[in-house]
Amino acid sequence: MNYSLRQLLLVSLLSASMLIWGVAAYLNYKVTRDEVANLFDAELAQSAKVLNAFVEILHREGSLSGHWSQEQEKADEILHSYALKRKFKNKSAFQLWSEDDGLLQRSENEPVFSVHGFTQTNIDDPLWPIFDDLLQANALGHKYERKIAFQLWSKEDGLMLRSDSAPKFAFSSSDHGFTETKIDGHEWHIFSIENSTGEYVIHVGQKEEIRAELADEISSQLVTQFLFGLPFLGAVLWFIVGLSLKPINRLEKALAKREASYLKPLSIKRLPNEIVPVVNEINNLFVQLERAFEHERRFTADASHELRTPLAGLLTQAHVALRTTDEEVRKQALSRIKQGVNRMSYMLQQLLTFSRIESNTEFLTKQNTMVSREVIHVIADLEPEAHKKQILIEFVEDNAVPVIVNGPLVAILIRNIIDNAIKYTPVKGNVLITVTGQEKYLQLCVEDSGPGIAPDQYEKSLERFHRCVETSSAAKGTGLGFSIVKRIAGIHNADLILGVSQFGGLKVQVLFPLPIRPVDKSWQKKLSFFHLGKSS
Amino acid sequence: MRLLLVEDDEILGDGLVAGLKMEGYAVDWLTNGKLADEALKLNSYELIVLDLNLPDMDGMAILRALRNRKDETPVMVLTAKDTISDRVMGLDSGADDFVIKPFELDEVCARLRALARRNEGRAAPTVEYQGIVLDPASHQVTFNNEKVELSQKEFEILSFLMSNIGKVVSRSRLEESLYSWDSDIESNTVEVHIHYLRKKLDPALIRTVRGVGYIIDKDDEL
Repeated sequence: MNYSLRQLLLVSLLSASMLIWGVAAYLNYKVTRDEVANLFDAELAQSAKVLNAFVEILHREGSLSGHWSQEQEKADEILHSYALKRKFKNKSAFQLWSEDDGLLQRSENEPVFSVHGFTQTNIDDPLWPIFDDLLQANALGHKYERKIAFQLWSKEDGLMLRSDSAPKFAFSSSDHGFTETKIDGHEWHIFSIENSTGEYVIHVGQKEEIRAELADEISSQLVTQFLFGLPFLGAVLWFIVGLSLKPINRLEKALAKREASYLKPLSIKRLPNEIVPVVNEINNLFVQLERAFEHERRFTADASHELRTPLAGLLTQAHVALRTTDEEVRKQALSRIKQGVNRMSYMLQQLLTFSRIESNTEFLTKQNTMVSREVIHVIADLEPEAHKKQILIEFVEDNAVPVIVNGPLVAILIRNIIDNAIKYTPVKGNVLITVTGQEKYLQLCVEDSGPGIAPDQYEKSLERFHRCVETSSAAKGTGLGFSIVKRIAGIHNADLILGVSQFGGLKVQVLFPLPIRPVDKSWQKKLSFFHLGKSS
Repeated sequence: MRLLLVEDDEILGDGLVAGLKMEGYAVDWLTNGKLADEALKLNSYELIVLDLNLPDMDGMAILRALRNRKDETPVMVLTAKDTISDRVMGLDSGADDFVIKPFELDEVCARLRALARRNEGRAAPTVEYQGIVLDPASHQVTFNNEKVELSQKEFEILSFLMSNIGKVVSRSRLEESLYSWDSDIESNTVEVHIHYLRKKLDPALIRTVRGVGYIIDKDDEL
C-alpha cells in the first residue's frame, strides 16, 4: 500500500505535538491551580492575621467594642491596605493608616504612600456595610477580593463584626487554621485565628467559585492558545516537511526526465545523507543496466554481422539461379541456397540458445543428472549424420556418477561438442566419447580425428563467432558452438579444457565438479596450470 | 578478364564464382588469406575481389602487402562491417571500392566494370575503335552500327585487345585472361577465337605478331 510521507509526517507530528502540548497544558493547569489555591490560602491567613493585629491593638487599648465607630476608617484601611497588598503581593506587607495621625502601623519594606478612594460614612452601626463597600466597590480593589468575607467573634458576646457576604453564624467551629465548609450551596475556604488572649476569633472566608473562576480563566487561556496555536503549528510543520521532502521531488523530476537509454549516474550533490544510499543504489543499477545493454548491443551487432555473409551468399546464389541458362548451374545454385538456408536456421537456433543461456542463468534449477544418459541421447540423435560420413562413434562409460546440473543445458553442451566433432571429422574418421567418474569431478571427454586446433588458438576458439583456420573451408560452423559450451560449463563451475586427441584431432574435456565436496580451488589451479603447460 | 576472388564462405564464394563466370570473368577462388597472398605474388590479375573477414589473415593485410609491392590491380573489398571508420580504413589501405554484405550481384558486376574501366584510364562505359563499339555491361558489340554476335571468349579477347590498343598482347597473357586454373586450355583455342573475330569484324583489325601474340594497331600506324 502506498502512502504520502508528507501526510504521515504531518499527521504524526501534529498529533504528537498536540498530545504533548495537551499533557503539558493539563499538568500546567493542575500545578497552577494548586499554586493559586496555596496563594489564596496564604492570603486568607494574611488577611486574618492583619485583622487580628488590628483587633489586638484595640484590645490592648481596652476599647475594642467602643472603638468601632471611631475606628471604622482604620478597619477600612486595614482591609484596604490588604487590597493594596494584593497588588504588591510579592512584597507581602501591610500598612495601617489613620486619617489624623498618618501611618499607624506598617510592615517592613512597605513603601510609604497615601491611600485614595476612601468612602466617608457616618453610619454608626452596623460597621460591616463599609467593609463590604470596600470589599465590593473599591476602585483600587481586585476583582477577586469581594469574594472574601470575614467574621469577628467574641467568645463572650458572639458575633461582633462581619462583612456583608459573611453569614451570621460561625464560619467554622475551628478557631485556628484552615477549614472548608458549605454554606447555601457554596463551598467556602476558611482561615480562623484566635487573638493572643483567646477572647476573640476571626474567621476569614473565601468562596470556592473564585478559585474555580481563576482555574477556568487559566484553562480557557490554555485552550485558546491551543486552538490558535494548532493551525499555526500545522502550517509551520507543513512548510518544514515540504522543505525536507524537496530533495525527493528533485530526484523524482530528474528521474522522470530520463529516457531508457540514458543511464548516466544521478548526481548526489545537495542530497541529504538519508537519500544518498538510495541514489547510490540506483546508480549501481544504472551501471549494471548499462553493461547489460552494452552486452546486448554488442551481441546484436556481432550476430547481424555474422548473418550478413550467409545472406550475401543466398542472394548471390539466387541471382545465379535466376540468370543462368545452364540447367546444371541452376540446379547447383538452388541446392546451395537450400544448404545456405539450413545453415542460417541452424545459426539462428544457436544464436537463440546463446542469448537464452546468457540471461537468467541464476534461476536455473539444477538436479542430480546422469551425464552418460544425456550423452546416449545426443549420440542417438546425431548417429545418422555420422553414419553418412562413415564415422565410427564409440562411447565408453567408467564409474559414472550423477552430478548436480541443469539437464537441458548440459544436453546442449554435449550436443555441441559431439556435433562439432562429427562435423570436423573427415569421412571414415573416429569420434570417441568417454564419461569417467574421478575423485573430485566427472570427466566428459570427446576426441575426434579431425584437423584439431593449433594450441595457440585454443583460447581464441572459445570466443564467440570465431572460426578456426583449419576448419573454415568446411564453413558449416557458426562460430558459436564453443562459446555456448564455454558458457554452459561456466554456469556449472565446470572446467573446459582443449587438447590433442589420441587420433591426432581435437580433444574436448569438461570436468563437472562432484557434489560431495565443495569445489576445491587448489586442484582447479593445478589443472589449469597443467592445461596451460600442455597448450603452450 | 582474370579475377581473383578471396572469400572464405563456401556458399557465397561458390555463388560469386558462378555469377562472375556468367559475366565472362575468369575467376580464381581462394578461401584462405595466406594462399591468396602467395597467389597474388605469383600471378597477375585484372581485378581482385577480397573479403576482409578471413579466418587466418586479415584481408586488410593482404591489401597492404599488395600495395607495398607496387601492384596497382584494382581491389574490391567485401565486408560485413558497415561503419564509416571501417570504410575509411579500407579505402586508405588501398581498396578501390567497397561493397557491404549482403549485396546484389548486379551491383558487384557494375562496380567491377567501373573499376576495370578506370584502370584502363577511360571514363566512358563503352570502348570505341574504328567503328567497333564494345559495351562491357551488356556484352554487346556493334560494327559500323550493326550488331555482331560474338561468343563469350571472342568478346573477352576483343575486349582485352581493345583495352591494350597499340600494344602486343602475348598469347599466354590472353589465355590467362580467358581461363581460370580449373579450366582446360586447348592450345589452339585462342587462334580459333581470333579467326572468328577476323571473320565477323574487319579482317585487318587484329594483326598477328609471329611467335609473340596479337595486336590491334593504332590508327596512325595503319
